[in-house]
Amino acid sequence: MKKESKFSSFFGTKHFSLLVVIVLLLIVFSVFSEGRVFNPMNIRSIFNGMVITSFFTLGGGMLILFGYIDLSCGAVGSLAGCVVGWGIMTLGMPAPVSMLAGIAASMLCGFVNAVMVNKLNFEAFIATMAMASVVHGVGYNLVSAQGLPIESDLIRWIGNTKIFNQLLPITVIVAVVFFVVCGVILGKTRFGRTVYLCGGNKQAARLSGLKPKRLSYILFTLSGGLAGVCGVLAVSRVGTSYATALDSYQFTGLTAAMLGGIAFGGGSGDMLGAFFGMLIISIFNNGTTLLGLDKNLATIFNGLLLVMALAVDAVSARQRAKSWVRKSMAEM
Amino acid sequence: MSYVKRIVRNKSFGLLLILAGAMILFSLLNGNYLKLSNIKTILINASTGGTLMIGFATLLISGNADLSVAAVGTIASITCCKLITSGAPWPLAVVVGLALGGLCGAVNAVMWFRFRIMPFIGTMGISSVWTGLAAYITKNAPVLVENQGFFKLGSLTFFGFLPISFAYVAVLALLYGLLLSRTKFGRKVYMCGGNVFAARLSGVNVTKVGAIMMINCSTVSAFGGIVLAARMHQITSDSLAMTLMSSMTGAFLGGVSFGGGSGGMLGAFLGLLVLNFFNNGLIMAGMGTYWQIFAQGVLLIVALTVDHFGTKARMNALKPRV
Repeated sequence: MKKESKFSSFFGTKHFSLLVVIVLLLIVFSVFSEGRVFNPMNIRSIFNGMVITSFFTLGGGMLILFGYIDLSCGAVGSLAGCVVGWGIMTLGMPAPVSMLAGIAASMLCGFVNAVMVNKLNFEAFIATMAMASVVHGVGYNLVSAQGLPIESDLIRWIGNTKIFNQLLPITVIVAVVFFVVCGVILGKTRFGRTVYLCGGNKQAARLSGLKPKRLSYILFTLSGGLAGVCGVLAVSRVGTSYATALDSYQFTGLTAAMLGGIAFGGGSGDMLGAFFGMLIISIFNNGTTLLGLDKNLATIFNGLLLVMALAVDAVSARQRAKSWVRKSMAEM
Repeated sequence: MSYVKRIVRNKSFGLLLILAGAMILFSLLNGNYLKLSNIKTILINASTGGTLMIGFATLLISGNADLSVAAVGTIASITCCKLITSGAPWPLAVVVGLALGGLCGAVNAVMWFRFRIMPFIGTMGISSVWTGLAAYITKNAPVLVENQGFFKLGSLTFFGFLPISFAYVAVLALLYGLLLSRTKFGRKVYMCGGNVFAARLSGVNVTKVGAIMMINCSTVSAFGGIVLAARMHQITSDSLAMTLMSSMTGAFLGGVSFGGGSGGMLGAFLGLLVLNFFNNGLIMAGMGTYWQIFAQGVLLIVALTVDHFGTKARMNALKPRV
């Protein structure tokens, strides 16, 4: 009995439905592209397409679990890239130092977000939007609207090296390491539990001895820092710093997180689901390129996916609440 | 409280002071700042963001939010221009564009009131759909329009400094200001924004009011986009990209609070003027366009900080003295 319920519960999970979507997408695209989807080079580009997104999914996803949203992570990531370019090209600093400076700058931005939300009671998404505007302004001043090409061997090495017969780029390895480490921290440690708990009910969490405020400082700074790492990776892949380089990825990252079942106010969703969400988006983006379709279709698809994911979440949350009420009424 | 004191205590008075201060400061830095031609430039630049701001601010007052205003303006305007280029009479095209805007608002309302998708994320998702669709339809190229009647909608100038696009903003601000402060419906809007449960319990149809405000917001945004196209004689899928931020900043500067239920059209209108006179002043003082984006964010943060301390002071004043 127990085994069966476990078995059937897997088919009811979000992970299962996401996997079904992935398989369907793969079938459709492989039929229309005559199997080119499964070309090793194409699989590489599917994963390549997830590198930048994954950092926003991680940082943003954790914040969403906690009940906040960070709309500045794209801008902050771009700023990190700008700081790298500015440090190397304008100030003549060594590449590692300017990379660290870039990540530090983005962590600072995340921290300031947390201050605005905690000390000044701003709504998180307005505070972070304002931060995005400030950060864009700084970025433009550092590298101008044309962008700043970077001459650095280290940067080029990070961006272009691929091991295992040209199949595994370094950037993908870095992203996987970050994703696994953060996913495990979120899923398996006390810290992760705290994030879920605070997201569910901050007041209750505070009264039971947790410190939601301190946690929100950590999470905002972490979101900034992850965006910074991703900005450094992005700039090393492209070789040029742009002030708005990562803006569109931010939206994709948040979509992936919510698609994977990470809901506002915590409680549900994990990084495996978010990974599946990223995979869906990346396969679709890749497929549109493979079939030579208009890239804007991918933007439309992303938006629709986000709305659908939110609708499913909202409806199922309401059903859960209803069945809970019914159950407790029956027990009475 | 005496009459004078009441005026001085008013938030709009503070905004007027800031506006006057900015004018004096920047005209000292650059003699051309207060010339009529420059004021015209400022008002033209303020007009699209301003139109969007009016829809956005009224919606915020009712306690809802919409981050798709710029995207809705884009898609409505592109539809309108496409219709004109394919030979439809321009008044019809404008009406279709406005109706499409209303429809987008209805979609937002369904998402929130039917499916309970939080407005600001839901509308963010939907705005990606609209901008993607706009770029898909236009293939990332500008849609050029050639129709003298349509151009008149956006190119007239009154008294040498008042462009018609800004006159719309002023008229709309006046109309919505009167609607909000002088009518029964306006009171309901404030009630919904202030405390949605109390409003429902006292018999206000919260869903109806919210849905009307959402549809209204999108229609006004569509109008803003269409007027922009009439002024520029063309429209691209990213023409309105920067206007969302400026419309939000204007509204918050003007004291429309995020939680809803407070602020008004006069404040929002003054907030819009402060923002735009400030932005233009930065350019006239030789700061470069990049600082504009920076300053906009800083202004928004300052506005919210002031709002925060203002609320705190009001709350303290309400506390019973022991």
